Amino acid sequence: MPSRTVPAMLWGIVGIAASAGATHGWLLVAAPGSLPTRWLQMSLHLLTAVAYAGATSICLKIAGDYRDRSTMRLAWRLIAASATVAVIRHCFEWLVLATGWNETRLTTLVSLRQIPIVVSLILLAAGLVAVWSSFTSIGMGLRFRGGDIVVLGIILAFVPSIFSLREEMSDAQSVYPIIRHLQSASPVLLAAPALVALALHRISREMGGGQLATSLRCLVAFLLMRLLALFLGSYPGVAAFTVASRTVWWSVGWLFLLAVFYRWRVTVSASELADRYEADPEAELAGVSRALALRSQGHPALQR
Amino acid sequence: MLLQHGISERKWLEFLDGTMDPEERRGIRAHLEKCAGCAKLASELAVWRNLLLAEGLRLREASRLPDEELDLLLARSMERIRSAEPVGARSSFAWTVADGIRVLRFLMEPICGPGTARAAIELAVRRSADDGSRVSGRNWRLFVGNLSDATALICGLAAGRLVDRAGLCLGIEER
Repeated sequence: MPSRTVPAMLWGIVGIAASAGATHGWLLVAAPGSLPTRWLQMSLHLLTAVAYAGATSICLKIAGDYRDRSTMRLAWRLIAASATVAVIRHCFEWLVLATGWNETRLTTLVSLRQIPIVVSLILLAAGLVAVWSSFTSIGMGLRFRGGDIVVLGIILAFVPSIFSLREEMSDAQSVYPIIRHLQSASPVLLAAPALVALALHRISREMGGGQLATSLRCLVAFLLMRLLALFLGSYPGVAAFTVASRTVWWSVGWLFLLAVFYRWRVTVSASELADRYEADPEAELAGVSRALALRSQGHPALQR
Repeated sequence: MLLQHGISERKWLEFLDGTMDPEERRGIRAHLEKCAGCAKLASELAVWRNLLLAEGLRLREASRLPDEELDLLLARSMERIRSAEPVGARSSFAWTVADGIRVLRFLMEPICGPGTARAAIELAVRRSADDGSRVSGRNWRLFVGNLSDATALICGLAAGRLVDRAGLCLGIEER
């Protein structure tokens, strides 16, 4: 498939998921507990599970493109594990809705969903820290600007704000104390990857462009939007917040897949180019020579 | 007609364009390794070709200009072509260390970004250069290895392999 087709298709799905999410949010306000609301929610759980399953597969392929025992390989394995746990979580949520347990066992069996949620967040945070750590080894992601401190402050401000609303959260009434604690910890657990996202954002700015920077930007958007969705979802009484929260929440899984796909494209592009250099180095170097000559003479398409 | 050692002008153009039959290309490559005269000629042709391509592009873009401005542009283009050194750094057969680094950066930038390319190159220079600041033809291979490692660390083994292949086929250590 042409290299631009898949991202365009994925962006399209992000849009569709956001629209479906907005519809879900509106149904939650207008007709909570109705059959269409439940069906839409079940469909969205399955679709999101598909997105995370796709991301898992690509993450493992990306991990395979790094040396054994390298930090980046560990990072992508952790991210793959996080996506796998997210698949389990969404499948479990689908099962809960399909069986009607959300009405009969909400505070018992259903509340156990906090376990995969927390595990997935911990794995994701660990993976992202490992990605950041790899970049620091070549001197990137170490210099922060004034604007970063402001964003840091905003992210940290979200935590107590969401924490104060923990009683409103879905599993706050669980009969298991451990689940209630895990639910309370979710703002912190979501804020941790968002803080790493700040460092990744700085790295993407330092990169100045390229396919890898695009991937990092999508990853940063995914992490920050998740935190935003949790914040908005903490105000179930505000209809606009509910719609916005669901819009963001149901589209972030696809945004994650997009981020991972952009990263995989780096490997594919590099591999194709390396093969061409192996097959016919002179022809490739003649092409580069041509492009450099054009660049040195000011051709706009080749200026950086 | 430019004919040297049985290689016609048309064949040279096909060779430089990369449109030549692979068997014939291998034959010419083998000949270039042995024949200094033909290697020099190929080098000169590559430079001329690049200049003409660049000027052609510039002129095509300017084709909507009024006649007077177009004439002026043509005159300037011819001047630039006439004043060009035939054998130079831009030839695909005579890369200098600086050009080699430029080529590698050019290849890395679309993949991992100009900033990453710069950081990886700086790291590889520090690790390879004798005095910590310069890479020479003598330590080019070591530099390419270090750059390949740094690239693989961030962008993966495929990107590292690209740097390795491209860096070594520049043949800078032989000069």
